[in-house]
Amino acid sequence: MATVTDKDAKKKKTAADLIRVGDEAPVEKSPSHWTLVWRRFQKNKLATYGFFVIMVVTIIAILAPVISPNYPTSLDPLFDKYGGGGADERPSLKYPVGTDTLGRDLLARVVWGTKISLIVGIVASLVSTLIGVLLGLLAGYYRGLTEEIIMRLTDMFLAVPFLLIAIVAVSFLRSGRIEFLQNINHSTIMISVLGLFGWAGLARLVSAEVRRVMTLEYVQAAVCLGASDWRIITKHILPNILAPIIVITTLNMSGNILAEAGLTFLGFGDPSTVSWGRIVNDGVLNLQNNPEQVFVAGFGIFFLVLAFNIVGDALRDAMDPRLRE
Amino acid sequence: MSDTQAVDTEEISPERVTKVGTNIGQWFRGIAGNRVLVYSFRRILTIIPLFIGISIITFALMYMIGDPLAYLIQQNPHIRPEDIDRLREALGLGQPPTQQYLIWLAGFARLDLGLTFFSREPVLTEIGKYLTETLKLQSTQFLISLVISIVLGVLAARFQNSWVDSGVSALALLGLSMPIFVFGNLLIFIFAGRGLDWFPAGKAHSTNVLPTDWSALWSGNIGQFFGSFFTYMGDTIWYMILPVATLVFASLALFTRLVRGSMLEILRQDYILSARANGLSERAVLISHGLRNALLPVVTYIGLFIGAVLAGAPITETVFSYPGLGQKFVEYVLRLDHPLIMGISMIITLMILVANLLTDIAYVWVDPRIEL
Repeated sequence: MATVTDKDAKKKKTAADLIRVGDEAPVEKSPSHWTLVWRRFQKNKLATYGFFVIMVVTIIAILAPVISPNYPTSLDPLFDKYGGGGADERPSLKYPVGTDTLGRDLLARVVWGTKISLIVGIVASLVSTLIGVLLGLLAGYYRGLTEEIIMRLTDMFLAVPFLLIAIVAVSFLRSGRIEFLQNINHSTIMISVLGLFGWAGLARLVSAEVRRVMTLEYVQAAVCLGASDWRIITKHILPNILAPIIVITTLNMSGNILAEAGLTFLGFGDPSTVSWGRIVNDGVLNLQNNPEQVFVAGFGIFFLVLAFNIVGDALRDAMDPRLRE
Repeated sequence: MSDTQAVDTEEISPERVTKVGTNIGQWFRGIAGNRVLVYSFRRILTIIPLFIGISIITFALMYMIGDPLAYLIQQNPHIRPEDIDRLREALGLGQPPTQQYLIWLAGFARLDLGLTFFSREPVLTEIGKYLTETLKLQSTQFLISLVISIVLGVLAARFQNSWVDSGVSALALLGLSMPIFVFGNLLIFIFAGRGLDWFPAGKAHSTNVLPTDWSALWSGNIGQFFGSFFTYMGDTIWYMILPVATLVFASLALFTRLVRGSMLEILRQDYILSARANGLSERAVLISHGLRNALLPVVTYIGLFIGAVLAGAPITETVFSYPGLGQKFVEYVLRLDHPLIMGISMIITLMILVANLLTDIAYVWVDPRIEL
């Protein structure tokens, strides 16, 4: 039985290792928290779909200049080639989604419009997460007067009628009244408005979480050992409240995509920037004759937002199974 | 709280009871001992700085958009500089912005929001016209979506992890992800115009239907009154169906998720188990033991969502060209009508603040465990 000995020896060695003190640690490590989260996330079939959609849209946005058949703002770009074309063209082989009222290729416009939705959705929620987490940490950690001031500020931003103020703010930023704001572009305007008005809910949540974590024993121990504020916040508090922050940031992304599309649909975006809300706004007058002018970009927004919502829900389920209900 | 009350009741003697009506100190102590009243008073005081802060932000942003007279000057190239100055003084745009803001705030305190720039009518009457239309739309959609979401949420919680639950969750996910203007346009495309042509695609009333003839009621002409009343009501409802369906689809998602989550939490409690063990019918367990307790957090959350509901109006109203507050707001921002912009946004802010206040007070009132 010579063949068995190898395996047996290995077995014996590991068993012995576990018993002996001071020898090397067992090779098999228990999976970390994030590995577990990733495994649970992968098990969710819907989440895979959502992730896939987001990836595809991102690739389309990056490769837009390459894969787009025409430039999105040129009028009837294929005028000389083949027959047909012109304004309000129905879908044809020449223009797969048709053309809009000015004869611009709708497929090209939809492809180029992905960029704005993605950038605004992602960056605006990152901005509001940054502000919200920072203020929430300050309020929850330092308490006292700091907390009072920040919480009153949060109350104020929570009571703001968001869309109305956003309309006024976007109009202000677009008016170019202040000199250094004159060359600001569409996505920057949207990011700053959505980012600056979207942090209040997160700040309140973070400060409540910080207050909860601060009472736990290991944070108390770190305080007793004389750890600095920075170390306590970054090493002990932040990693433990990361799960809700990530989930809310992801769900904010879908909200911000919707808000950007809504604001541009109302006509408050930059008319020369190609974005999905703008395409819908342009097509509404032709709803009965050329429904594709509204619904191609419209359902583009829908599927992108759906994907972000699905991923957000899946992340919530994966990070904290107790939150599932 | 209950301890002090218990002590109070022990101390009450007949002579003290008779004195309560006359002794102001006692009366005041009674007021101060009422936790709901004290809490409400404190919360009302916190509303004022919030309101002022939001109005300062709004005014500053609005003031910096541009000069309201620029449009007029552009329209009329022959206008003389002295006329422009005169107009600026007449519209109250001559003072520095801080002074304009303080004048506006003082006016708001007296419920005088000034005159609009364009029609020169009082802002309050102008807003009142549009507010009724918006409230009609919003209250209808609120009631409908509340009823449907309670039914769906309770069903989803009762049959957790079944096909009912998945269906309701999927519906909620769709409602959350659908841009409100795309869904509105989809409804118009299917049910109005060249589609099925069942409902009108926009506006709030037919032009040939007159408002309810109330004078007929006073003069005793009941038949004419009811005739005009029902015609007008039918017309209004006919025009409201598509916008209300759009809004219901949007808010149904939020409410259903809330009801389901809260109901699932309640159904796991011990008293539900004991109710089941006592042999109560499933209906009694779900409705009188489950739902009544599950609605408490739902009501609080819904109060917080009123802001989102009211602020969501501009898009729906624009899609259906419904003459409500939101659509008019969009129109007046483009025209830079300062008194109307301030009026509409601050009245909606005030409604949000009051709704938050009422939900908080109701919560404190209903649940004595909450410490103040």
